Amino acid sequence: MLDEKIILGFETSCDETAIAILKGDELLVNTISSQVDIHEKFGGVVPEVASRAHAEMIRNIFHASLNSANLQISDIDIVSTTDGPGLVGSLVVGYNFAKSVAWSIDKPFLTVDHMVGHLAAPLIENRTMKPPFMTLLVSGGHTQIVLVEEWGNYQLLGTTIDDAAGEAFDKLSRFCGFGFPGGPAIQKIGEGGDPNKIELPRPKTKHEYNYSFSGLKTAATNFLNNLDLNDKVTKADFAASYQEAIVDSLLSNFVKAVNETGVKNISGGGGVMANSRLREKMNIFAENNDLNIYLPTPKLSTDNAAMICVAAQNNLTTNDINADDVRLSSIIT
Amino acid sequence: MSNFIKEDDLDNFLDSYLKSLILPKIIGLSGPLGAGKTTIAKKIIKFFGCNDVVTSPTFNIVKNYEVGEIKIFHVDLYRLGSWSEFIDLDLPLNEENTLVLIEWANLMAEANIPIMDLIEINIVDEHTREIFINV
Repeated sequence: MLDEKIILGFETSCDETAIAILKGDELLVNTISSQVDIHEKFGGVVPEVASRAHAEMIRNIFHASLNSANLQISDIDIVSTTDGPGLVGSLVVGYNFAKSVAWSIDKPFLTVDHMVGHLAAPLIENRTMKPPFMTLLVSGGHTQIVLVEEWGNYQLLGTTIDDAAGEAFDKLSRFCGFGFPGGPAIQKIGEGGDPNKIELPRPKTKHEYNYSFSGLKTAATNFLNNLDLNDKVTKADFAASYQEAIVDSLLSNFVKAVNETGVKNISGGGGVMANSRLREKMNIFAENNDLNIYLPTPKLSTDNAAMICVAAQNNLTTNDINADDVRLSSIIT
Repeated sequence: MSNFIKEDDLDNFLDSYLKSLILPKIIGLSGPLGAGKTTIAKKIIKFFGCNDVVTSPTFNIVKNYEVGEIKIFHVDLYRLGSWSEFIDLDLPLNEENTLVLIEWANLMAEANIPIMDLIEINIVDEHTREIFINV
Protein backbone atom coordinates (compact mmCIF):
# COMPACT_ATOMS: atom_id res chain seq x y z
CA MET A 1 0.00 0.00 0.00
CA LEU A 2 1.15 3.46 -0.84
CA ASP A 3 2.68 5.53 1.91
CA GLU A 4 -0.05 7.82 3.22
CA LYS A 5 2.32 10.50 4.46
CA ILE A 6 1.25 14.05 3.63
CA ILE A 7 3.81 15.70 1.38
CA LEU A 8 3.98 19.44 0.80
CA GLY A 9 5.84 20.56 -2.33
CA PHE A 10 7.10 23.88 -3.66
CA GLU A 11 8.21 24.75 -7.19
CA THR A 12 9.53 28.25 -7.90
CA SER A 13 12.21 27.64 -10.51
CA CYS A 14 10.84 30.15 -12.99
CA ASP A 15 7.47 31.74 -13.77
CA GLU A 16 5.24 29.87 -11.44
CA THR A 17 4.80 30.01 -7.71
CA ALA A 18 3.45 26.51 -7.34
CA ILE A 19 2.45 24.60 -4.22
CA ALA A 20 0.96 21.13 -4.00
CA ILE A 21 -0.04 18.71 -1.28
CA LEU A 22 -0.03 14.98 -1.97
CA LYS A 23 -1.33 12.23 0.32
CA GLY A 24 -0.73 8.74 -1.01
CA ASP A 25 -2.05 8.83 -4.54
CA GLU A 26 -4.48 11.60 -3.78
CA LEU A 27 -3.46 15.05 -4.96
CA LEU A 28 -5.15 17.24 -2.33
CA VAL A 29 -4.06 20.59 -3.76
CA ASN A 30 -2.20 21.67 -6.87
CA THR A 31 -1.99 25.46 -6.93
CA ILE A 32 -0.18 27.25 -9.71
CA SER A 33 -0.08 30.98 -9.54
CA SER A 34 1.21 31.85 -12.94
CA GLN A 35 3.18 35.04 -13.17
CA VAL A 36 2.64 35.16 -16.91
CA ASP A 37 0.45 38.27 -16.59
CA ILE A 38 3.29 40.18 -15.03
CA HIS A 39 5.78 38.94 -17.59
CA GLU A 40 3.66 39.41 -20.65
CA LYS A 41 4.28 43.12 -20.90
CA PHE A 42 8.02 42.51 -20.83
CA GLY A 43 7.85 39.74 -23.41
CA GLY A 44 9.45 37.27 -21.10
CA VAL A 45 10.53 36.23 -17.68
CA VAL A 46 12.02 39.05 -15.66
CA PRO A 47 14.29 37.80 -12.90
CA GLU A 48 13.91 40.63 -10.44
CA VAL A 49 10.19 40.76 -11.01
CA ALA A 50 10.05 36.98 -10.81
CA SER A 51 11.74 36.69 -7.44
CA ARG A 52 9.81 39.60 -5.98
CA ALA A 53 6.52 38.20 -7.25
CA HIS A 54 7.36 34.79 -5.75
CA ALA A 55 8.17 36.44 -2.42
CA GLU A 56 4.93 38.42 -2.47
CA MET A 57 2.76 35.44 -3.36
CA ILE A 58 4.23 32.41 -1.70
CA ARG A 59 2.87 32.96 1.81
CA ASN A 60 -0.67 33.59 0.64
CA ILE A 61 -0.63 30.62 -1.70
CA PHE A 62 0.74 28.45 1.08
CA HIS A 63 -2.08 29.35 3.46
CA ALA A 64 -4.72 29.10 0.76
CA SER A 65 -3.39 25.64 -0.15
CA LEU A 66 -3.58 24.42 3.45
CA ASN A 67 -7.10 25.82 3.73
CA SER A 68 -8.37 24.20 0.59
CA ALA A 69 -6.93 20.83 1.71
CA ASN A 70 -8.51 21.42 5.12
CA LEU A 71 -5.17 20.83 6.84
CA GLN A 72 -3.16 22.43 9.60
CA ILE A 73 0.51 23.12 9.07
CA SER A 74 1.25 20.44 11.71
CA ASP A 75 -0.46 17.79 9.55
CA ILE A 76 2.38 17.97 7.01
CA ASP A 77 4.78 15.01 7.24
CA ILE A 78 7.40 15.94 4.62
CA VAL A 79 8.34 19.24 2.97
CA SER A 80 9.94 19.23 -0.49
CA THR A 81 11.12 21.85 -2.92
CA THR A 82 13.04 22.15 -6.17
CA ASP A 83 16.72 23.14 -5.96
CA GLY A 84 17.29 23.87 -9.63
CA PRO A 85 17.98 24.28 -12.42
CA GLY A 86 16.22 27.62 -12.75
CA LEU A 87 16.46 31.31 -12.03
CA VAL A 88 18.63 31.46 -8.94
CA GLY A 89 16.71 34.40 -7.41
CA SER A 90 13.41 32.58 -7.79
CA LEU A 91 14.77 29.29 -6.48
CA VAL A 92 16.05 31.01 -3.35
CA VAL A 93 12.58 32.28 -2.46
CA GLY A 94 10.95 28.83 -2.67
CA TYR A 95 13.88 27.07 -1.06
CA ASN A 96 14.03 29.37 1.96
CA PHE A 97 10.29 29.38 2.46
CA ALA A 98 10.05 25.57 2.23
CA LYS A 99 12.98 25.05 4.54
CA SER A 100 11.51 27.46 7.08
CA VAL A 101 8.22 25.56 7.04
CA ALA A 102 10.03 22.24 7.56
CA TRP A 103 12.08 23.70 10.38
CA SER A 104 9.06 25.24 12.10
CA ILE A 105 7.21 21.91 12.27
CA ASP A 106 10.36 19.82 12.72
CA LYS A 107 9.72 17.61 9.68
CA PRO A 108 12.07 16.25 7.00
CA PHE A 109 13.05 18.64 4.22
CA LEU A 110 13.80 17.14 0.79
CA THR A 111 15.07 18.78 -2.37
CA VAL A 112 14.18 17.58 -5.86
CA ASP A 113 15.86 18.40 -9.15
CA HIS A 114 13.43 20.28 -11.39
CA MET A 115 14.03 17.91 -14.34
CA VAL A 116 13.59 14.82 -12.13
CA GLY A 117 10.28 16.37 -11.11
CA HIS A 118 9.26 16.53 -14.77
CA LEU A 119 10.25 12.95 -15.45
CA ALA A 120 8.35 11.72 -12.38
CA ALA A 121 5.22 13.76 -13.20
CA PRO A 122 3.30 10.95 -14.99
CA LEU A 123 3.27 9.02 -11.67
CA ILE A 124 0.79 11.51 -10.24
CA GLU A 125 -1.93 10.15 -12.48
CA ASN A 126 -0.58 6.74 -13.32
CA ARG A 127 1.17 4.68 -10.68
CA THR A 128 1.87 1.87 -13.13
CA MET A 129 4.67 3.75 -14.90
CA LYS A 130 7.90 1.84 -14.21
CA PRO A 131 11.45 2.00 -15.52
CA PRO A 132 12.97 1.30 -17.89
CA PHE A 133 11.43 4.09 -19.95
CA MET A 134 12.58 6.77 -22.36
CA THR A 135 11.35 10.28 -21.72
CA LEU A 136 11.36 13.45 -23.79
CA LEU A 137 11.68 16.48 -21.51
CA VAL A 138 10.87 19.70 -23.33
CA SER A 139 10.52 23.01 -21.55
CA GLY A 140 11.37 26.67 -21.82
CA GLY A 141 14.94 26.11 -20.82
CA HIS A 142 15.63 22.43 -21.58
CA THR A 143 15.27 19.84 -24.28
CA GLN A 144 16.47 16.38 -23.26
CA ILE A 145 16.12 12.72 -24.10
CA VAL A 146 16.59 10.76 -20.89
CA LEU A 147 16.72 6.99 -20.50
CA VAL A 148 15.49 6.05 -17.03
CA GLU A 149 16.95 2.58 -16.51
CA GLU A 150 15.74 2.52 -12.95
CA TRP A 151 14.63 5.24 -10.55
CA GLY A 152 17.69 7.29 -9.72
CA ASN A 153 19.65 6.03 -12.73
CA TYR A 154 19.21 8.59 -15.50
CA GLN A 155 21.13 8.53 -18.75
CA LEU A 156 21.09 11.79 -20.64
CA LEU A 157 21.19 10.60 -24.25
CA GLY A 158 20.56 13.91 -25.97
CA THR A 159 20.24 17.59 -25.20
CA THR A 160 19.95 20.83 -27.08
CA ILE A 161 23.23 22.45 -27.99
CA ASP A 162 21.77 25.95 -28.38
CA ASP A 163 18.09 26.90 -27.99
CA ALA A 164 15.60 24.77 -26.08
CA ALA A 165 12.37 23.89 -27.90
CA GLY A 166 10.51 26.34 -25.65
CA GLU A 167 12.99 29.08 -26.52
CA ALA A 168 12.53 28.33 -30.21
CA PHE A 169 8.79 28.96 -29.74
CA ASP A 170 9.29 32.00 -27.49
CA LYS A 171 11.85 33.79 -29.65
CA LEU A 172 9.98 33.44 -32.92
CA SER A 173 6.73 34.35 -31.23
CA ARG A 174 8.23 37.55 -29.90
CA PHE A 175 9.84 38.31 -33.26
CA CYS A 176 6.40 38.02 -34.89
CA GLY A 177 4.51 39.74 -32.07
CA PHE A 178 2.43 36.61 -31.40
CA GLY A 179 2.71 36.78 -27.59
CA PHE A 180 4.28 35.04 -24.61
CA PRO A 181 4.66 32.20 -23.86
CA GLY A 182 5.36 31.37 -27.50
CA GLY A 183 4.27 27.71 -27.57
CA PRO A 184 0.57 28.19 -26.84
CA ALA A 185 0.52 31.40 -28.94
CA ILE A 186 1.96 29.69 -32.03
CA GLN A 187 -0.25 26.63 -31.56
CA LYS A 188 -3.34 28.85 -31.46
CA ILE A 189 -2.38 30.98 -34.45
CA GLY A 190 -1.42 27.86 -36.39
CA GLU A 191 -4.84 26.22 -35.96
CA GLY A 192 -6.24 25.44 -39.41
CA GLY A 193 -2.95 26.36 -41.06
CA ASP A 194 -1.10 24.07 -43.48
CA PRO A 195 1.88 22.58 -41.59
CA ASN A 196 3.59 21.68 -44.88
CA LYS A 197 3.11 25.02 -46.61
CA ILE A 198 6.54 26.41 -45.80
CA GLU A 199 9.70 24.38 -46.08
CA LEU A 200 11.71 24.83 -42.91
CA PRO A 201 14.80 22.85 -41.95
CA ARG A 202 14.82 19.93 -39.51
CA PRO A 203 18.22 20.68 -37.99
CA LYS A 204 20.67 17.85 -37.41
CA THR A 205 23.63 17.84 -35.05
CA LYS A 206 26.90 15.93 -35.06
CA HIS A 207 25.76 13.89 -32.07
CA GLU A 208 22.85 11.75 -33.22
CA TYR A 209 20.53 12.45 -30.27
CA ASN A 210 21.31 16.11 -29.70
CA TYR A 211 19.05 18.94 -30.75
CA SER A 212 19.70 22.31 -32.31
CA PHE A 213 16.94 24.84 -32.84
CA SER A 214 19.03 27.91 -33.49
CA GLY A 215 19.20 27.33 -37.25
CA LEU A 216 15.47 26.75 -37.50
CA LYS A 217 14.80 30.06 -35.76
CA THR A 218 17.18 31.80 -38.17
CA ALA A 219 15.60 30.12 -41.20
CA ALA A 220 12.14 31.21 -40.06
CA THR A 221 13.15 34.83 -39.53
CA ASN A 222 14.98 34.81 -42.90
CA PHE A 223 11.82 33.52 -44.51
CA LEU A 224 9.81 36.40 -43.03
CA ASN A 225 12.42 39.00 -43.91
CA ASN A 226 12.42 37.85 -47.53
CA LEU A 227 8.69 37.34 -47.78
CA ASP A 228 7.23 38.56 -51.03
CA LEU A 229 3.85 40.20 -50.58
CA ASN A 230 2.58 38.12 -53.48
CA ASP A 231 3.38 34.92 -51.64
CA LYS A 232 0.12 33.45 -50.57
CA VAL A 233 1.16 32.45 -47.08
CA THR A 234 -1.13 33.05 -44.13
CA LYS A 235 -0.08 33.64 -40.55
CA ALA A 236 -1.72 30.29 -39.72
CA ASP A 237 0.35 28.47 -42.39
CA PHE A 238 3.53 30.02 -41.09
CA ALA A 239 2.80 29.21 -37.42
CA ALA A 240 1.68 25.67 -38.28
CA SER A 241 4.79 25.05 -40.40
CA TYR A 242 7.10 26.33 -37.69
CA GLN A 243 5.38 24.21 -35.04
CA GLU A 244 5.57 21.18 -37.34
CA ALA A 245 9.32 21.69 -37.83
CA ILE A 246 9.90 21.75 -34.06
CA VAL A 247 7.65 18.74 -33.42
CA ASP A 248 9.26 16.75 -36.27
CA SER A 249 12.73 17.50 -34.97
CA LEU A 250 11.79 16.54 -31.42
CA LEU A 251 10.23 13.28 -32.56
CA SER A 252 12.94 12.16 -34.97
CA ASN A 253 15.75 11.95 -32.41
CA PHE A 254 13.45 10.58 -29.75
CA VAL A 255 12.15 7.85 -32.06
CA LYS A 256 15.71 6.94 -33.01
CA ALA A 257 16.70 6.67 -29.34
CA VAL A 258 13.68 4.51 -28.51
CA ASN A 259 14.21 2.21 -31.49
CA GLU A 260 17.92 1.78 -30.89
CA THR A 261 17.57 1.00 -27.19
CA GLY A 262 14.44 -1.08 -27.65
CA VAL A 263 12.62 0.26 -24.59
CA LYS A 264 8.93 -0.49 -24.52
CA ASN A 265 7.79 2.40 -22.34
CA ILE A 266 7.90 6.07 -23.31
CA SER A 267 6.97 9.24 -21.56
CA GLY A 268 7.41 12.98 -21.68
CA GLY A 269 7.19 16.20 -19.73
CA GLY A 270 7.89 19.90 -19.60
CA GLY A 271 5.82 22.83 -20.81
CA VAL A 272 6.24 22.07 -24.52
CA MET A 273 4.70 18.63 -23.87
CA ALA A 274 1.41 20.52 -23.44
CA ASN A 275 1.54 21.20 -27.19
CA SER A 276 -1.29 19.24 -28.79
CA ARG A 277 0.54 18.47 -32.04
CA LEU A 278 3.51 17.04 -30.14
CA ARG A 279 1.21 14.93 -27.96
CA GLU A 280 -0.63 13.68 -31.02
CA LYS A 281 2.60 12.59 -32.71
CA MET A 282 3.95 10.98 -29.53
CA ASN A 283 0.71 8.99 -29.20
CA ILE A 284 0.76 7.92 -32.86
CA PHE A 285 4.37 6.76 -32.48
CA ALA A 286 3.46 4.73 -29.38
CA GLU A 287 0.42 3.19 -31.03
CA ASN A 288 2.23 2.22 -34.24
CA ASN A 289 5.04 0.60 -32.32
CA ASP A 290 3.04 -1.02 -29.57
CA LEU A 291 4.68 1.01 -26.81
CA ASN A 292 3.23 1.98 -23.45
CA ILE A 293 3.01 5.75 -23.26
CA TYR A 294 2.77 7.82 -20.09
CA LEU A 295 2.21 11.49 -20.80
CA PRO A 296 1.24 13.78 -17.97
CA THR A 297 -1.87 15.85 -18.72
CA PRO A 298 -1.00 19.34 -20.05
CA LYS A 299 -1.51 20.87 -16.60
CA LEU A 300 1.04 18.50 -15.10
CA SER A 301 3.41 18.87 -18.06
CA THR A 302 4.01 22.54 -17.38
CA ASP A 303 5.80 23.57 -14.19
CA ASN A 304 3.88 22.47 -11.10
CA ALA A 305 4.59 21.42 -7.54
CA ALA A 306 2.72 18.10 -7.66
CA MET A 307 5.65 16.65 -9.59
CA ILE A 308 7.98 17.75 -6.78
CA CYS A 309 5.72 16.00 -4.25
CA VAL A 310 5.55 12.77 -6.23
CA ALA A 311 9.32 12.75 -6.76
CA ALA A 312 9.86 13.27 -3.02
CA GLN A 313 7.33 10.53 -2.28
CA ASN A 314 9.35 8.12 -4.43
CA ASN A 315 12.66 9.16 -2.87
CA LEU A 316 13.84 10.76 -6.11
CA THR A 317 15.59 13.45 -4.14
CA THR A 318 18.76 15.39 -4.64
CA ASN A 319 20.04 14.97 -1.11
CA ASP A 320 19.51 12.81 1.87
CA ILE A 321 16.89 13.76 4.35
CA ASN A 322 17.39 17.21 5.87
CA ALA A 323 19.54 18.87 3.28
CA ASP A 324 21.32 21.63 5.09
CA ASP A 325 23.49 23.25 2.53
CA VAL A 326 22.35 23.06 -1.05
CA ARG A 327 23.88 24.91 -3.93
CA LEU A 328 21.10 26.37 -6.04
CA SER A 329 22.12 26.22 -9.66
CA SER A 330 21.15 27.81 -12.95
CA ILE A 331 22.43 24.90 -15.00
CA ILE A 332 22.28 21.12 -14.82
CA THR A 333 25.21 19.87 -12.79
CA MET B 1 41.14 40.47 -42.58
CA SER B 2 37.75 41.23 -44.07
CA ASN B 3 34.90 41.50 -41.62
CA PHE B 4 32.69 39.38 -43.84
CA ILE B 5 32.95 36.00 -42.21
CA LYS B 6 31.76 32.64 -43.44
CA GLU B 7 30.76 30.05 -40.85
CA ASP B 8 33.90 27.97 -41.44
CA ASP B 9 36.20 30.97 -41.00
CA LEU B 10 34.78 32.02 -37.64
CA ASP B 11 37.40 30.20 -35.54
CA ASN B 12 40.23 31.81 -37.51
CA PHE B 13 38.64 35.21 -37.26
CA LEU B 14 38.20 34.97 -33.47
CA ASP B 15 41.60 33.43 -32.81
CA SER B 16 43.73 36.53 -32.24
CA TYR B 17 40.98 38.24 -30.24
CA LEU B 18 40.59 35.22 -27.94
CA LYS B 19 44.34 35.01 -27.39
CA SER B 20 44.39 38.68 -26.36
CA LEU B 21 41.75 38.23 -23.67
CA ILE B 22 42.79 38.79 -20.07
CA LEU B 23 40.40 38.39 -17.15
CA PRO B 24 38.48 40.08 -15.71
CA LYS B 25 36.56 40.80 -18.88
CA ILE B 26 33.13 41.96 -19.92
CA ILE B 27 32.11 41.20 -23.48
CA GLY B 28 28.89 42.45 -25.04
CA LEU B 29 27.36 40.75 -28.07
CA SER B 30 24.88 42.49 -30.30
CA GLY B 31 23.04 41.54 -33.45
CA PRO B 32 19.56 40.50 -34.59
CA LEU B 33 17.77 37.24 -33.77
CA GLY B 34 19.71 34.38 -35.34
CA ALA B 35 22.88 36.41 -35.97
CA GLY B 36 25.04 34.01 -33.95
CA LYS B 37 25.51 35.71 -30.58
CA THR B 38 25.23 32.44 -28.67
CA THR B 39 27.50 30.73 -31.22
CA ILE B 40 30.29 33.22 -30.52
CA ALA B 41 29.62 33.15 -26.76
CA LYS B 42 30.02 29.35 -26.85
CA LYS B 43 33.40 29.69 -28.57
CA ILE B 44 34.60 32.23 -26.00
CA ILE B 45 33.45 30.09 -23.07
CA LYS B 46 35.09 27.02 -24.58
CA PHE B 47 38.31 28.99 -25.07
CA PHE B 48 38.46 29.41 -21.29
CA GLY B 49 38.44 25.64 -20.89
CA CYS B 50 34.79 25.04 -20.08
CA ASN B 51 33.60 21.68 -21.38
CA ASP B 52 29.95 22.07 -20.39
CA VAL B 53 27.36 22.20 -23.15
CA VAL B 54 26.73 25.94 -23.37
CA THR B 55 23.15 26.67 -24.37
CA SER B 56 21.14 29.82 -24.88
CA PRO B 57 20.68 31.81 -21.66
CA THR B 58 17.54 33.55 -22.96
CA PHE B 59 15.00 31.62 -20.92
CA ASN B 60 17.06 31.50 -17.76
CA ILE B 61 18.53 35.05 -18.12
CA VAL B 62 21.84 34.03 -16.51
CA LYS B 63 23.75 30.77 -16.75
CA ASN B 64 26.86 30.28 -14.63
CA TYR B 65 29.89 28.16 -15.45
CA GLU B 66 33.02 27.49 -13.46
CA VAL B 67 36.42 26.33 -14.66
CA GLY B 68 38.86 26.10 -11.77
CA GLU B 69 39.23 29.64 -10.46
CA ILE B 70 37.43 31.14 -13.42
CA LYS B 71 33.79 32.13 -13.07
CA ILE B 72 31.78 32.72 -16.22
CA PHE B 73 28.42 34.51 -16.31
CA HIS B 74 26.52 34.12 -19.58
CA VAL B 75 23.78 36.73 -19.55
CA ASP B 76 20.95 37.63 -21.92
CA LEU B 77 19.19 41.02 -21.81
CA TYR B 78 16.49 39.90 -24.28
CA ARG B 79 13.79 39.48 -21.66
CA LEU B 80 14.77 42.23 -19.28
CA GLY B 81 12.48 45.20 -18.93
CA SER B 82 14.91 47.79 -17.69
CA TRP B 83 18.49 48.44 -16.73
CA SER B 84 17.59 48.40 -13.03
CA GLU B 85 16.73 44.74 -13.47
CA PHE B 86 20.18 44.12 -14.85
CA ILE B 87 21.65 45.85 -11.79
CA ASP B 88 19.48 43.63 -9.58
CA LEU B 89 21.15 40.56 -11.08
CA ASP B 90 24.15 41.72 -9.05
CA LEU B 91 26.71 40.33 -11.47
CA PRO B 92 30.37 40.55 -10.50
CA LEU B 93 31.45 43.03 -13.16
CA ASN B 94 35.19 43.39 -13.36
CA GLU B 95 35.96 41.10 -10.43
CA GLU B 96 39.05 38.91 -10.39
CA ASN B 97 38.91 35.82 -12.64
CA THR B 98 35.46 36.58 -13.96
CA LEU B 99 34.19 36.64 -17.51
CA VAL B 100 30.81 38.24 -18.11
CA LEU B 101 29.23 37.75 -21.53
CA ILE B 102 26.19 39.90 -22.26
CA GLU B 103 23.98 38.97 -25.19
CA TRP B 104 21.68 41.63 -26.68
CA ALA B 105 23.99 44.27 -25.20
CA ASN B 106 22.55 46.72 -27.75
CA LEU B 107 19.06 46.48 -26.24
CA MET B 108 19.78 48.97 -23.49
CA ALA B 109 21.77 52.12 -23.89
CA GLU B 110 23.08 51.75 -20.36
CA ALA B 111 24.59 48.40 -21.27
CA ASN B 112 27.28 50.23 -23.22
CA ILE B 113 29.68 49.83 -20.29
CA PRO B 114 32.90 51.72 -21.07
CA ILE B 115 35.15 48.85 -20.00
CA MET B 116 33.27 46.33 -22.14
CA ASP B 117 34.40 44.85 -25.44
CA LEU B 118 31.57 44.84 -27.94
CA ILE B 119 31.17 42.26 -30.68
CA GLU B 120 28.66 43.43 -33.28
CA ILE B 121 27.21 40.93 -35.72
CA ASN B 122 25.19 41.74 -38.84
CA ILE B 123 23.54 39.12 -40.99
CA VAL B 124 24.77 39.41 -44.61
CA ASP B 125 23.25 36.21 -45.92
CA GLU B 126 22.46 32.73 -44.66
CA HIS B 127 26.11 31.72 -44.34
CA THR B 128 27.86 35.07 -43.98
CA ARG B 129 28.09 37.53 -41.11
CA GLU B 130 29.72 40.92 -40.86
CA ILE B 131 31.47 41.05 -37.50
CA PHE B 132 33.12 43.97 -35.73
CA ILE B 133 35.06 43.57 -32.53
CA ASN B 134 35.38 46.84 -30.64
CA VAL B 135 37.89 46.62 -27.83
